[in-house]
Amino acid sequence: MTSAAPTVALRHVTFAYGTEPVLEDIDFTVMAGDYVAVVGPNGGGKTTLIKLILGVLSPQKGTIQVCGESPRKRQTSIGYVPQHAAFQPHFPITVLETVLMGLPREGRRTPGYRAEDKDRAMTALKQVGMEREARKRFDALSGGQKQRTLVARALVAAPKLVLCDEPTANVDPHGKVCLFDLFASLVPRHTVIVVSHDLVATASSVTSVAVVNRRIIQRRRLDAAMLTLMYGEHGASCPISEYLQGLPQSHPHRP
Amino acid sequence: MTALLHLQFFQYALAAALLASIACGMVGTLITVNRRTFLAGAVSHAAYGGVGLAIFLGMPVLPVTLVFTVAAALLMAVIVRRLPARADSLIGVLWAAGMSAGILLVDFSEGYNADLMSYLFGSILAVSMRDLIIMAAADLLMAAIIFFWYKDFLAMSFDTEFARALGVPVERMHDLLQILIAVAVVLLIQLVGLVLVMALFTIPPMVAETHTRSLGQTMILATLICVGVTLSGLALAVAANLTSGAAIVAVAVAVCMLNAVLTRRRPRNSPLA
Repeated sequence: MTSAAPTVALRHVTFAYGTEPVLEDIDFTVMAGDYVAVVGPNGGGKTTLIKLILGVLSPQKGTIQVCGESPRKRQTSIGYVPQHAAFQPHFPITVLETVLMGLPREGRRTPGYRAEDKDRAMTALKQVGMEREARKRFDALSGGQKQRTLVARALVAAPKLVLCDEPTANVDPHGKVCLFDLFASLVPRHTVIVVSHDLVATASSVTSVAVVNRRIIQRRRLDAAMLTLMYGEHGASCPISEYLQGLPQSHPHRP
Repeated sequence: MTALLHLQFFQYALAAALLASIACGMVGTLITVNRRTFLAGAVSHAAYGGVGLAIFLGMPVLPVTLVFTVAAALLMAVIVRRLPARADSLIGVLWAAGMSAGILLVDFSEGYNADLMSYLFGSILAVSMRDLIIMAAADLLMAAIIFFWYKDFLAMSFDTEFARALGVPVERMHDLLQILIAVAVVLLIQLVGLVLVMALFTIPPMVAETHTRSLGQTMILATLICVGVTLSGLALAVAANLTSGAAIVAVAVAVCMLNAVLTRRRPRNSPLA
């Protein structure tokens, strides 16, 4: 693998639940240190795309590589923040143990954690500004704090790639801004892919945007074709499009 | 009461309460945090089908019921996985079918006069040494399984999607949990009865999880609460000449209600918050 090999490379990928394709002939490339927003309508295939990159789903056609290998072989290279995590409201777990859950499972399934693992978890919590909450119960946190904890869980194994699926759902507007700032701060050390409905927030800080609606268009800037794929034939003339196309698309870490 | 402690049957009943509490504390916590109480109820009622089948075939109750209940529990796991939209109704069908099949099979068994309804509240005061040895062995086996797969159970219970991404075999872990539920149910309903099994599966873990910070702590505290309510219930049953299983359930419900009142009053900046 050369240093120029992409962190994520999907080639002619097609995936269907049953007979109806959710994603069709998808090409998607993310280079090391990129911060990519994946946007699109509900049911457009955004979460399916993330699950394919994770290796949880396998495509019917095409190939998927993460850091030059199949996703299953690079599981420890991927940190994952799942969508609308349906936690039991009163699950008995601390913030620290939630983060420790993100460590690779091989060979350590029994109770108890090593001191070095706890140090790694504390480092991940510091990265997201949550180290003071380590001893608190997870269910005592606010929505934004919970998401930060889940980002720390994704970071604890020092992954090359961080996948976030709708991380700002159930987070207040201020919390959303803080989370997007946090994701921006992760690059270029980590490659970050964020699935979001929040076009405005994501478009202002990412290095590229991918619109997914059964097909995919990936560009540095939002353009009329992407808005048409997202909103249909009138997408390019919808009120938000002018604003979105006018947003700066350069990332602070990539002048 | 003190004189009772010198009687062998009462000592055995106390030991049975302790061993049943360990099983309920461990398995009940996993049921509660995975929101599988309805499935556990269905497994418990389906076990009646196994009891009826054993009586109908004239075979030993324990092995036949165990095989039948594990099979029913795994069938339910498959239904939940393959037909999620219809799972609730189909599990309800299995729940009713298992129980009625058990009763009908006993009806068809000539010359059998035993009361199947005794399995509702069990007979903890009639426990034998053989029962205690089997229960202790089952407790050890279940504790070993939960210990060995603790972090997989934790990840699966807390966040299934993330567990799957981490490589945890979530479907197999759910199957394993179903088998644990089936084994615990079969061993316990003969001793403490169906109603008490369900009460001990749900109430102590529900109370415990409001006071703990980890799954392991919840299992330990749930076990201690189980021990407390079963011993208090037994004492109440002896003192007031009540049915032991029902008295234990009454104490458990009282503890649950008391906990609900006390935790509602807990200030938001409590150390547990």
